[in-house]
Amino acid sequence: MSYELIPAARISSSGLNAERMRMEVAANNIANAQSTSPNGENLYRRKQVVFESVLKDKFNRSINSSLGGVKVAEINSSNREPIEIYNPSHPHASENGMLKKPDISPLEEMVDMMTATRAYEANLAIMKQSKKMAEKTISLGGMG
Amino acid sequence: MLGEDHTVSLLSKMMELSTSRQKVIANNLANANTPGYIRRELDFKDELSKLIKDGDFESLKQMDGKLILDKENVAGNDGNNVHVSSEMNEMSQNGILFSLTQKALKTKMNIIKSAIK
Repeated sequence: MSYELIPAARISSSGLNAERMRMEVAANNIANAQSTSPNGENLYRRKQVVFESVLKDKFNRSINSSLGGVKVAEINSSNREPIEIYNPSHPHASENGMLKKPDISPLEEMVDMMTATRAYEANLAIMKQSKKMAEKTISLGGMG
Repeated sequence: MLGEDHTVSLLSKMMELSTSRQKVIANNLANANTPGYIRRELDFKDELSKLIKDGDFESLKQMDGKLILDKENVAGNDGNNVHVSSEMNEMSQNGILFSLTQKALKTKMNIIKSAIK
């Protein structure tokens, strides 16, 4: 592993990346809340990120190499059934006039966005402090 | 080394351990939303005090603490027991500890410098 000037910068940035990805997925879900498709085929389904911690304890027990932060393991499509509404004039409606829409709840996405924002802030706070620590270490070499 | 004075090696070891703890806290925070993640903690207090008591400063240079799983915190319904608020608290405590040891080391170095002059 390469030498790190700022402690934990790699770990914190993995956290920032993961939370940003969650935010993007929530935004994508909201943007597609009204998406339809002809006869409901290949309809958009709610996406969900799955986080996984990166731990390498098995190979090396030293602290520096066993803490790997977090990564997005997969972006999973929910298997929730689409909701059907009666709208015969819509070009994507089926023969009996039913239109399929993805079952996306704005509330759920908002909660996801809020927790992602808070977690992002927490990761940013620790990154700031780590930077200060590095600066203090460097100032030891200065005069005075 | 400076005669029998171990201040410099002790203080720099403390800074090193504090840096490692910062990494552990960063890892906990990065995994604040990972299902099933158990928070980790860096344990070095007992080992450090034992080494200082025994005056074993050679082993002290090698020590780097142990990672332990903290199962005492109550896990939420996704099996994750990281609480962002308590991690932020740990982080500030650790920052203060780091500043303290850094200031002490700087003062020690200034003392040595003025002795040289």
